[in-house]
Amino acid sequence: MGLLTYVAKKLLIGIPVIFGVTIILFYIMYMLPGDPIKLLLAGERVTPAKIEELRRAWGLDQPIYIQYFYWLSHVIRGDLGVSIVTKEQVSSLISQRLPYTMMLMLISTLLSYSIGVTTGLLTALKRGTLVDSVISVAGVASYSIPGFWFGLMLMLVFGYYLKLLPISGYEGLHSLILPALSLALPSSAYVMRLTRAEMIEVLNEDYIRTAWAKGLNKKRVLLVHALRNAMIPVVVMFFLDVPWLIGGAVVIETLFALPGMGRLLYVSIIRQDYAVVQGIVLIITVLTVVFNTLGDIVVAVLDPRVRIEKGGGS
Amino acid sequence: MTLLIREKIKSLSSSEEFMLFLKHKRGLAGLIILSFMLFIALTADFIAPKKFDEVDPSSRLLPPSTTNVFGTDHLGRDVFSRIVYGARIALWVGLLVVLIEAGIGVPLGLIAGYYGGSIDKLISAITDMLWAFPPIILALAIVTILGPGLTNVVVAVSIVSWAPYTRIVRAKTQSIISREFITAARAVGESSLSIMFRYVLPNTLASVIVLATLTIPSAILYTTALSFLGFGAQPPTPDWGAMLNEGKDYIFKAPWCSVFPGLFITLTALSFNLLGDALRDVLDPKLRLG
Amino acid sequence: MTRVSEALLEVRDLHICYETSRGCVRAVDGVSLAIYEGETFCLVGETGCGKSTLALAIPRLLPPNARLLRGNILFKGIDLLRASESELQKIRGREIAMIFQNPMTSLNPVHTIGFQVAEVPLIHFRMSWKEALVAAVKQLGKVGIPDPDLRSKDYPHTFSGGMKQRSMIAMMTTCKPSLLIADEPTTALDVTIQAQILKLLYELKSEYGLTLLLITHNFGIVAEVCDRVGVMYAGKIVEVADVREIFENPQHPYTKGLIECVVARRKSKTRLNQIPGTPPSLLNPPSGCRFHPRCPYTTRKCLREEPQIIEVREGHLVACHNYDRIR
Repeated sequence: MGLLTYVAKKLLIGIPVIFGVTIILFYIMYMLPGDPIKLLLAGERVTPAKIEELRRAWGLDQPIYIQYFYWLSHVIRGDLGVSIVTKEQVSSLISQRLPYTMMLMLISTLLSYSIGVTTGLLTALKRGTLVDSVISVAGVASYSIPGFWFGLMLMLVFGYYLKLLPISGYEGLHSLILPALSLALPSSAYVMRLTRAEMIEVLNEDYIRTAWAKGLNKKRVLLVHALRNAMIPVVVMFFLDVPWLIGGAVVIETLFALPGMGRLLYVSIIRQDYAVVQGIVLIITVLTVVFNTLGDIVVAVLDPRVRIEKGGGS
Repeated sequence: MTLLIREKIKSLSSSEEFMLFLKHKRGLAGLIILSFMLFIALTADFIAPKKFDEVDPSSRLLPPSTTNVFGTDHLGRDVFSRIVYGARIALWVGLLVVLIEAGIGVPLGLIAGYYGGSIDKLISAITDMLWAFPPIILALAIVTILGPGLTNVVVAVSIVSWAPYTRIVRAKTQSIISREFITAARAVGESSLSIMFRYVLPNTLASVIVLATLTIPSAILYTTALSFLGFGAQPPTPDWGAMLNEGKDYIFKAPWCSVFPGLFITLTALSFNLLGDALRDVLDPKLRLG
Repeated sequence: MTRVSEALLEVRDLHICYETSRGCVRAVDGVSLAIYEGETFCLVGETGCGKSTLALAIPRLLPPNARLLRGNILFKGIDLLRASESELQKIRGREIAMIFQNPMTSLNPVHTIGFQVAEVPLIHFRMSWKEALVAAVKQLGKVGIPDPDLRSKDYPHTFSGGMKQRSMIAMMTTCKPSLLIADEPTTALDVTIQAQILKLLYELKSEYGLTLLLITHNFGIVAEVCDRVGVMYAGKIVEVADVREIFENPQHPYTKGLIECVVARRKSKTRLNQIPGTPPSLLNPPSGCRFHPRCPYTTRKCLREEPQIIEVREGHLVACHNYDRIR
């Protein structure tokens, strides 16, 4: 099957998956403790009749599947509900914060992959040497370090002792440097490991020998033939990694007091502002499915062997 | 002549022996660090100068000294004692999480690999979907439902990360059942359950052990992250993540409250990673990047 | 079959070993050989005798753990073993080309066939991509790929084994090399395809006037295709002669044994002739003549002394103490 058919298939599967996950999501939210009505009233004294009236007004007396459809119909229109605490629209709360998280993610993935890929290639080409061993051990140590502790240490060194970079709040792009580093460190170590392993494996393949036999120079053999193959899993990893980094962003944003979506999630959980929690988790779910689907598509674009049904060949 | 000399030098730095020696050195280092952690965890009662919850308002935020090797925290508690008791928690939590993960993941992998077909598709789909989702968020959601506390964190983290076990066991099962002795067992009339337990499971054990060693670090890192956010161990439990949570407010006044817990988390995770890598090279080289 | 001027390729006293954890395995242990322009030279021997190593050494495509201990390989006045990397890159694919045993893994899965073939004239003739692709399509057609224009845009995994090997041949002959080394080009293919590939090689050889060095363990192929034959055993050359001569008058017991394996099959004897024993360890080879443990004509001298290469007749070389007693 061609590339387009493959892409179309993947996209089509993505949609029911999103729906399926929203159902699971909604159910989890439904299970969350705390009576939203009581929270809404926040301690006002009201008659039980009034409570029932409010419950009916909010549709909370309906069976769960009806509530789900109400909720879904609102979501499709972009209405994610209202924050119990601040009374603002959830969607506007999120959209204010999302850009900061996106910027943090962008910078940290840039850092992570540039460091990871270059060290991975370096150690692959210098396999078995001292450089390789030292860098590899540094890599293992890097993904053993808790990101939040690394962040704390960075705060200490750069924010306090050296007073070079801001450590709290958002004062501009440079506020994102330390947080991005905290996120990037463990991730880059995994990227390095994968790159190294893939490159080593590819360099041992017969087709690399064929490339040399054709009289191609080193640069061409490494770039056009070796790298082009070795990078496929790394690129895919990038797409699958992004949702995971969002998880890390929750902790890092909280630590560095950044006005991002991750910190909003944390704060909302503490304040039991479940409408917001729901909205954020929904966004994250959609992003997860989108990036995974993108990853599937990218594999097919980069690796022609993936595009055929099982049992290919002419 | 120079050709030969160059080749000789190259051979010295890239021969198989050199590589093997290095790998052993790393595994050995991991084992040593782990033994140290085990030691302090087991002998905590003896080597800790104070109880982990012994508050002393007059000795708040003291820097490391001969009386308090790692200093004191904001409640005057001895950091070293808390660290040492914290080792118990870390190791125990790591072990528990991995046991639960394997308890869920391994049987699922066995079933998926053995029966194949739509059961396999279903299990694989669920596993892949679960694994794609950021684990911290999901764990947060679960902890929010269940409430804070170390036990709930253990449950939450286990639920979100059994996928690698299912994947590995499934793959191994598929390769094992294609071999003749399975066909022979079936021909003799052995039940599927029996075959799975007597033949397939033992052959997956090596991979599972390696995987367990390599996933303990993630278990520790996730649980401490949740404790750091305040959802895990509650005070006065000396969980290393919780210590970081408390210590972060005094990061500039008393950095030792934050430096040591995190350092110990790192060392413990590192030891398991090094050990796991070495084990994998010995037992199952194909497990790379599983 | 007659020698044309001097040797195109000359191997002199080549010693190559592979580094392993147990020591250096001596894969090629003192090999000297001459290949003349325009001939088809077959290098024959059992698996592990060093023939592939010898073949790979010529364009210097040996794996990283291979060590060159001693020797020269002369090609058109250049010692290939001491040439610089840039000199070698000009020769590979252009003057000396090589096709390998396993076409399934020898092609890059992420580039189209057309791309991979076109790379050769692109680099060596400094063509533009357009021109190179045209040349590639033309060459693919020449090697027998149907619909070459269409198929050049396909990826290797859509090709059968035979077609993959043809593509490799196209790749390596686009520049009309002087020497084509074929390392067991048909071993991994079906029998029917084998004949086709050999025929293709023969045709190309005639048309381009190239010299063919064919590595094989199959004496049947030798009989069909070759002009001259060199037999290798345990890292050494044991016999070299014209193909007719070697079949009618083998002087080395090993050669004799190999031929009898083939001939016996053809005469449908009831028993298969075998050479008893197994090839020796190249880490710790037997003393004296390496073949002596398996040789029916062994004498005391064979255990002590390694036989030197002697010219028994014009163009017929053998390394055996007892060649005159072989019947």
